[in-house]
Amino acid sequence: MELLKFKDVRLEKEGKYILQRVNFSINRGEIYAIVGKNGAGKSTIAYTLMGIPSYRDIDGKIIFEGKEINNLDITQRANLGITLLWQEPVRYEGIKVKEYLKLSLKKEDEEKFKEALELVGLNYRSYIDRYVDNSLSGGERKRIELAAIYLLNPKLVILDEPDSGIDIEAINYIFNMLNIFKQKGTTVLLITHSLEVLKRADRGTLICCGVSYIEGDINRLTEYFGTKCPYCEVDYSKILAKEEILNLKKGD
Amino acid sequence: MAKIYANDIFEKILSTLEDEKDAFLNRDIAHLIINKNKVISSNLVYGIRVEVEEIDNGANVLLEIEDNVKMEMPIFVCFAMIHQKGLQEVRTNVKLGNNSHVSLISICNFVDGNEILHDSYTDIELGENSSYRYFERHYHPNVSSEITIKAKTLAKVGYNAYYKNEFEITKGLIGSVDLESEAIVEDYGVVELGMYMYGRENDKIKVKEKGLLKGNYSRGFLYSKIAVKDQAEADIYSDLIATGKYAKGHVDCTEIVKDQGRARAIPIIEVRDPTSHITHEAALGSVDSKELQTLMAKGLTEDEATDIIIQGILRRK
Repeated sequence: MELLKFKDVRLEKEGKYILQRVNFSINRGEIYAIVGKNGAGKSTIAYTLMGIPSYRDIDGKIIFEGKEINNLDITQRANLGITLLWQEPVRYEGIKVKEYLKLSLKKEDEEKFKEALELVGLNYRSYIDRYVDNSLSGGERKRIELAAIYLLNPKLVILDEPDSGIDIEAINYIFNMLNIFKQKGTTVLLITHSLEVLKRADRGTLICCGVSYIEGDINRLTEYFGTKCPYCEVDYSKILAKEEILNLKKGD
Repeated sequence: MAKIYANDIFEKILSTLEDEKDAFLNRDIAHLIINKNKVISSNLVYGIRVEVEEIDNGANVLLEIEDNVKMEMPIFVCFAMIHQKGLQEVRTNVKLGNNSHVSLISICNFVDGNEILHDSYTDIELGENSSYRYFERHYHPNVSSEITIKAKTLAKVGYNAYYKNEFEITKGLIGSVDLESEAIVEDYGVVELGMYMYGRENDKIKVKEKGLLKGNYSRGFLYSKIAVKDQAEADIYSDLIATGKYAKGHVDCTEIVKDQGRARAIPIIEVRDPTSHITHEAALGSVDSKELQTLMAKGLTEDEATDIIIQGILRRK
């Protein structure tokens, strides 16, 4: 059942531990959230898991499908079935949407491209021949990236703040894609500081100061938003509106 | 008059082309194919005059467009060397009449080459209110070879005329390329000179592009997008000089360096009249790491991802 495990993961950069002790494990097919304030180390966990070069020199173990992957580079991890949606996806000069989607699918398939774009609310005819460059807004770019990840069909997708830079209408397409991942059995590591996003997760870990200090179901996690972090005195009740927490507790 | 010889050479030359193959088979599109020094195929249309003189190691080509000719479709020209070794000398004269508008796409096919020297000189004269768009694409072998390209172009851009010249070698190994392209621009004339090249292994790239904005209200844009990897080297000289009144221009160099590649951009901008204005922008550096990592997170190797990013940057829009 267990797909991924972080075991006592520590990462030092420039003489400072930005991950001090991170432990969590994710089961196959679940949507697992990493929550915490800005600067807590959430995105660092994403980069460490993906194997981004300056985030690879860790202590502890990252175990994927029962095997330690610490020494694998990005491509090797991707070929195992791990991929990442960046918080701010990059633009590519001179690459068209259809060429970009083809990189995921490894072949040209108009029907599949159409299906993927429509799942994220983008019209096939309007977008397929556009360039994945600065002519797209941040929200459009993120949705195209999500369509590309859908076509890639990974085992584990890391979504780093999937709602950032997205308007209210588009956020529903992101949530819809989360449901589709769930239906397909794709495991999702959801990095967020938003309760709206957190509500879509099955379980998660609260992280602060590079330490994962509580792991559990979402209701249990949200209880800690009303308390102070035992490590750094961050008051989580000030980060998230109390109304949001109450709504979440009601299952809204 | 069409002279299309469906022989082995013709087939062989076309077989290695990508986007342009159909154009050479279309009788409504003017074309000329020269292999070393022999005309393999030609198809001319009304309003253009082409004379080819076959010389020992190449050809002298005259292309004349009468006044008031507006060609809807580009003219396609192919210079090929299906021989593995040898010299190809091409001397071209282009004369464009007043109020005429023409595009020319030139393909240099040296895919089978091993030791080849392609030496070309082109003289271009554009009449008043005319426009001439020229694009040259090279097909070179994917394996290391001794291919040398020497090309020199001088264009005289008449009153209110528009001249665009773009050169591209982004597929296959370049070998050695030494380009000089110069344009002298009269009143209200416009020049655009562009280069797209991808140097790999031991490729050597040397480009000198020069625009002289002699006329009042003339405009110029020189741009180059060059990538080098492995041990390839590139030296790009971009020289834009404004002597006319109210002339405007811009020089833009983008160079990407990877591995032990070396790139040097030397832009020179000069204004000799206070009413003129020329700007310059240059960016030299490596492929963006986040762009690379995003593609690698889809399972591409670093080399595959680098090639895709560079080909995108070098793509003409």
